[in-house]
Parts: sequence; structure tokens; C-alpha cells
Amino acid sequence: MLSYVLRRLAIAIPTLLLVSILVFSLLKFLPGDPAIALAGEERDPAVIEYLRQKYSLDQPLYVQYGKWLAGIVQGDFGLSIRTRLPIGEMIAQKLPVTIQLSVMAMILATLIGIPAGIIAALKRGTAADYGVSIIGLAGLSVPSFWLGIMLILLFAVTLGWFPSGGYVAFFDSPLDNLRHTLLPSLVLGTAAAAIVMRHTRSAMLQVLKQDYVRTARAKGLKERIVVVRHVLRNSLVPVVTMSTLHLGELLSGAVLTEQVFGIPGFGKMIVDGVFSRDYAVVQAVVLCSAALFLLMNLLADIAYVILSPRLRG
Amino acid sequence: MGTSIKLAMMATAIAMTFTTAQAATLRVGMQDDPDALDPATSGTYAGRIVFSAMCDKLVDIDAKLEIVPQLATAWIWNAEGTEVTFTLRDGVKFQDGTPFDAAAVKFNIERMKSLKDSKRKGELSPVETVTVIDATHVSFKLKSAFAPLLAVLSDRAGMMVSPAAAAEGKEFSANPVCAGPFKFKERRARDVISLEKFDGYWNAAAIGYDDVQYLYIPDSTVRLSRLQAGDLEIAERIAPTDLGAVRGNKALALHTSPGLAVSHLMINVGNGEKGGALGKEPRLRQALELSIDRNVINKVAFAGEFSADNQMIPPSSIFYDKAHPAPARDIDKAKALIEEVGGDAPVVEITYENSLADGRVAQIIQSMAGEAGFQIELVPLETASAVERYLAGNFQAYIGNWSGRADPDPTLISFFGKEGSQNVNKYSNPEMDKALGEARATSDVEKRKALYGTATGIYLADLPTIPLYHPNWFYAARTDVSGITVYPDGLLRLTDVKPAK
Repeated sequence: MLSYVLRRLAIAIPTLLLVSILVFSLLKFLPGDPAIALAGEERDPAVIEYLRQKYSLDQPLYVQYGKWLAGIVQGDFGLSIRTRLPIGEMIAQKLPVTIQLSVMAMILATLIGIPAGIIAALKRGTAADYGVSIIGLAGLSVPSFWLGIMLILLFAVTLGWFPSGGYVAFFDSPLDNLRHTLLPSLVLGTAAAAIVMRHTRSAMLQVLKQDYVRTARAKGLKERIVVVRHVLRNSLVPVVTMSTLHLGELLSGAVLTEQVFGIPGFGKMIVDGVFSRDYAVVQAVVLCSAALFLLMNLLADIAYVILSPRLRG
Repeated sequence: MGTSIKLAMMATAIAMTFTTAQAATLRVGMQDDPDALDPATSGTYAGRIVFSAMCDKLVDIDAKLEIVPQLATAWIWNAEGTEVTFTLRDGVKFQDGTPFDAAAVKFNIERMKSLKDSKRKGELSPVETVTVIDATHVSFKLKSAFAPLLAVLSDRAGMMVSPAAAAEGKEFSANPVCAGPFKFKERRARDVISLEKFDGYWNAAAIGYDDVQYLYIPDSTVRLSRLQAGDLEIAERIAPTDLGAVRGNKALALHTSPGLAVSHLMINVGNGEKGGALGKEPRLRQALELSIDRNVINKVAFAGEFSADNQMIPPSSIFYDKAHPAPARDIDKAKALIEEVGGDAPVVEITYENSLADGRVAQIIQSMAGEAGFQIELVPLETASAVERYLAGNFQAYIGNWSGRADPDPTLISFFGKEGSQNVNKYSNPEMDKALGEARATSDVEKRKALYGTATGIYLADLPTIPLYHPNWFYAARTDVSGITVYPDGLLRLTDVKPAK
């Protein structure tokens, strides 16, 4: 197991390198010059020229990439060319926010999605199945910004139970932190819950058809034990994989939800970075998200092995 | 976790909420995230809002755009208008304790003129030398007479930063130090900028809040909902479509001012073939102008809340030219002009930065000008790409948004002067250069008014650009904040802003 994990981590390094080269070259293909984006309304040509030199924008691509990579290897993400703040610090501020939001969203998604999927599968073809499926489809289809604004209007503006947005760090005030993150996690979790529900339902249906389920029932086990021990456990394998990968996606930021709730996470940082051509910021965030995604991928595979003993080599 | 620990945590949380409620904090919702917090290199409007709480200027403007004292209490021009001597406010300190004096003024102006990435070089280029007379007197010697200098010093070029904090080798924008009412505390990127009251401020008695937070909330509707929920005290740039919700809410008050900015349809008149027939023939441009109803643009795109107008300088300025009112829409006359030139009405390609506002304006123009026979094609581009084309003069028509200045000189020189920095459509008219040159050399207001009137007549006949409207400023605030006044520069000044009793 350990050698497997180490091997996977070693493979991650060339993958990350490839991602960084890809992002770097894609950014360079974007029309629009960062020096111009920085030069303000006056756009003095001398200033534009100076900025190009200062940020090595006049150098060949491989020199720029080399400089950037040399910094990263030494743990230096560089300065944001727009705000002149250290990017390492920016990421350190946003990473915990994004992680907390994604994890809470996934917890909510599994708490809602798995039981709903079980009900839909066991009551297949009944009103309960259709009801759950319709709600699930609605959860998946509702645009997150609309749902977010509706939740704010109801719970923050009208009822006043939750703050209307913003973020308080957990260590500053745990209670406030939860109050600020519950609604946005619910919005993110709604869409994820629908996906979890669909996967649970179809996996359960597949397992319910298996011979060993019939055997279990035939030997007179209680239905509850059949469902929990035999059906559910075997159905969970694809659900766990899918949830972990979805968590990896959430970790790259949720632009619209962040924007509606004023949450300072990765999503808005990367979008603003692209629009202001703040290359260093975009590269750093993408690299960070890619690393997290690979990590989630690895965790999904490990969970697979743990849940399904047949795969233990 | 034990119950006692939970209780203790809750108690702490409650206690913290209580203490924050005691100290008066002003939370402002901002549409944009400011760039570098250094008056020399900053280029955003959002940055100017933060600076107006943090950095005092040599002079300020009032609601009528007239110059009033701030760090300088008096100034006197020599007879030729080539030298101005300022008397500085006594006993002023920067937020790090460094005294503010004539040497600091000299340092600041020289820093703005010499810093490699300074965006204030153009504005300060008329200043030749700065001479320290004594601790509280400093004189600016100009290359030639330049009346708009004081207006320039009422913005970022006149903001004084602490020479100690801006010394060589320090990253000033990460830890800015000025001489304004609030000092820098913390900045969390793309989230919040926090300032705290500076007790040593020269006018500290007029400051009513202990802390100010500028929160980055890009969506206008979200800003408004947070204001309604009481999680903000002030929200800037409320969208015209949301104004009804503010007016109908008793807990909120709307603070407005006419703005200095202008939105205009620039036409490529001087870049060879790029402008096509429209660029070559002023009568076609007049036909285009006559085919557009500016009031319809204002009503449809901005709920009638902005000011439809035909000039680059807004009506709030004393230099606005009343002799040239906006022409009414006249399709017949437009068609007649097109016929007079001969041939069909040209195809016109309008490039613009793909924002909601510009997109709407472009579509309305497309539909109205279509009635006169113009075939308008729309080219929406993402901002950085659009601006690149703009600077290269690579467009036929472009919807420009200019933030405007307190004095007409920078706007008119930039767009219509032969060497102007915004003259990307290569407009050139010697009569225009003459009028603008004379206007900046005289400080006589009546003479300047007449000269700017001449200039207005020239550009409205040549139409290198068709001004469309001036946006107005809309700040929404909770009624428990008193003393908010918005001036045409649209900045939020915090002097006299206090929690209402």
C-alpha cells in the first residue's frame, strides 16, 4: 500500500509540470497585454514599456517560464502584478476558505444524496422514486447564483437568521464562521447532492440484481441487514469515487457561489486573475488546484481499495 | 468536546460580537477590487475611494468642482501663471509620525515624476521644479502657464505619502502611509481592506468612525441585499435598475451626484482605411448622431437615471457649453445627409468591452441607426483584448468610457489634442489645438469658458467621437449613517460622516 501511494505521488510531479506548461502557454495565447491592463486609464507608453521589462514580458516564453518555475521550486509564488501582494500569502488566505466550503458542501451532499438514493432505489417505480428524482433533477438544474440570492433574501434579509454574506475565519469565531458558510455550502451541496443521489440509486439497482443479494435474502437475512451490509456497502464504491472526484472539482473554486455570498475563495481569484492578465496569480492557483485534484484522485483510489477488499492486491 | 468548552466558545463569540458593536465600524461594499495602494502607481476608481479615506491631498474640490484647501491652506500664483506658492497646514503628521512639511511635498512630487511605473507623470509634466522656501511654504515652477494644475493636485497627484515609508527599496503599496484620517491596517486580497482611525489626524474631530472596511462585492444586487440585511453601512455604484428598491426602503438612503465621466462612440477618423467612409466623411458622422436618440439610450439602458448629453464635459461643470445643446433625433435629416454624400449608408462596426451597460448601448444604437439605413455590426470583446485594439487604433467605432476630471483640460487635450494620450483615432485640427493651448495658459475663468466653447463647437462639427451620456453616482447607505455627501468625482469622503444618534 505504502509503495503504491509513493509511486502515485511520484507520478504526480510530471503531471503537475505538464499542467503548469499547459496553463502557461494557454495564458500567453490570450490576446491582451498584462502591461496594458496594468497601465491604468492614462496608459503612458513609457510606463507600459517599463512594466514589460519589470515583469520579463519582453523575454522569450521559455525564459519567463524558467524564471517562474525557479521561484516555485523555492516556494516563491512571486507578487501579483496587479495588487503587488505576495501570491503565496494570497493562496494561504484563500485555501482554508475553499477547503472548508468544499468539504462542508460534500458532507451536506452525502447526507442528503445517499439516503435519497437508497429510498429511490428500494422504492423503484413508485411515487417516492419519482419524487426524489424530480427534486434531484431540480437541484441539479437550478442555477447556483439564483438559488444563492433566493436563500439570502429568505434567510438573511427577511428572516435575519444568517448573515447575507462575507466570511469570518474559524479561529476568529467558530460560531460566526459556521453561520457564514452554511448557506453557501448548501448551495454548492444541492447540485452535488443530486449527483450523489443519482449514482447511489443506479449503483444500488445494479447490486440489487446480483446473485449474492438473492442468496442473502434466500438464507433468511432480515431485509435491513441485506440492504445495509450487502447492497449498500457494494454500491458505495462508485459513489465514494465519484464524490471524492467531485470534491476535487469543488476545490478549484466556485466562482458564482463565491461571488453571490462574498466568500473570498479560489474561484473569484482565478477569474479576476485571467481578466486582469495577472498571469502569476492564475498559474499559482491552477497549480494548487491541480495538486489538490490529484490528491483527491489518489484518495479516491485508496478508498476504493479499502471499501472493496477484492481489489487488495 | 465538553459542554463547558462549547459554552466558553459561545461566550467568547458573543463577547466578540458585542465588542465589535461598541467600536463604530463603517463597512463599504465595493464593486471593484483596488489595484496597488500607492497614489503614484494606482489606476483604478476603487483605489481612489480607499485613498480618499487614507491620503489627504494638497487641495480638494467641492460640490461645484471649485478648489478648496486641504493640506495646503492657501496658494498664490505669479502674474504670468507660471509659478504657484503653497502655504502648508501647520502641525500635520503622517500616520507614521513623520512630520508633513515643504520637504515632504518636494519629495512627493519628485517621486511621482521620477518613479519608473508612476502613472502621474503625464499629469505632472507641466511642473518643472519644486522649491522648498521654508517648512510651511513650497513653490512649484511650471514649464509654461498651466491653469489646471490645482485640479490635478486635487486627485492622486496631490496625495502626500510619508517619505520615510516610501523610501527606496520598500514595497510601499503593501504598507501605505499617508496623512489622511484613516491609516492602513490590513489587506486581504480580493476580500477586504481595513483601515483604522488615525488619532493624530489634523481634523480628527470631524471623523466619526473608528474603523473602515472596504469589502469587495462585485455584484450590484448582492451589494444591495447585504446592505438591506444590515451587513454593510454603505454600498457604492448601485445599478440604475436597483434604485427603486433603495428608494422604497425606509432603512436606506440614496446619495447621488452627477458624475464627471462620459461614455462616447469614438470613430476612427485618422488611421487610414480603418474608419472607412464614416471616418472620412463628417456628414456621415453627423447623420449617425442624428439617427440616435440619446434619451432613449438613457431610458432603456439606465432606467433614465443617467444624463443623456452630447458633450465630453458634463453639465455640472462651469465649463459646460450651453450654446451647443444635444440635437433632437431627426431620421429624415440623417437620410438627407447620407444622400448628399452619395451612395448607401455605410456598414459600421462597433467594438466595445463586453459589459452589460456597453452591450445594451451598442444594441440600442444598432437598432436606431438602422432606421436611417446604417448597418451596424457589433464586436463585443473581453476587456483586455478590446483595450489592446483601442490603443492600436484598430477599430472603426469604439464605445469609450472615460472617468473624467475636475478640470476640462485633461479630457479635451487627451482626446482631441494632436499628441493626446487618448487620441487613438488620430484626430487632428489646428484650430482645436490652438483653442485648447490658449485655455490651459490662462487662469481667467471667463476667457477659458469662451475658449472651451470654441473647442466644443469644433469637435461637435468634426465629430471624431459622439458623446452619448454621463453616468451619475449612486451610493446607497443605511439611514443610521449621517453626513454623506457625494461630489462629481464620485469619491466617498469620510470627513463629517458619523453614526446617526
